[in-house]
Amino acid sequence: MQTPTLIFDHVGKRLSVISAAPARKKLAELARSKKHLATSGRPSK
Amino acid sequence: MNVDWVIPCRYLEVHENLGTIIGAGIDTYWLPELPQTISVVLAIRLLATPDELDESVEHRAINRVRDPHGEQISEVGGEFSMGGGESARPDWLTGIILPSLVQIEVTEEGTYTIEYELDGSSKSLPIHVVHGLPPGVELPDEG
Repeated sequence: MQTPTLIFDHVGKRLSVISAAPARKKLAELARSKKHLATSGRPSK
Repeated sequence: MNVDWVIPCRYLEVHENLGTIIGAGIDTYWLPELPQTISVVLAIRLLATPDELDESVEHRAINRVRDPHGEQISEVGGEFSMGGGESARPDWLTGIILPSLVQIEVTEEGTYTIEYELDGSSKSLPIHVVHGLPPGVELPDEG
């Protein structure tokens, strides 16, 4: 099964449905982004 | 179709309907500047009957965001279908791992709420936004 990836863009106000390969590329780019830090609520633990 | 669970994470890959989840449990975003757009990666597990997974069946996905005051600030939705495939047994519920990305413009510090609804079944999760970085942490330049 080819599972789609859903992108809910609340800035552009649209839902995009993309396939696995471009989705992996986009998610990898976001994971490498240094614009913010995402953690659990207790990042030092 | 039901939403079984939703896990916010740093990265997700799905191969052969099995998810590899990295950084599960993210719920706090530290932002040097506000406003800013954040991208929340969600690993979603759905439970469906085999006929619901037929390529011809459309599903309705809706995503809502509430601000720290509880006011709904955005709703985005649309239709999509699954890619077909065989289930192990036709009378069993089938679990599907569905990667999702939610992009939100956050304007203030506080707890936002993301509601994920699919065919009327929904789950909500909090996302905390902090203006600033943890003590001693600096973000490198993106270059």
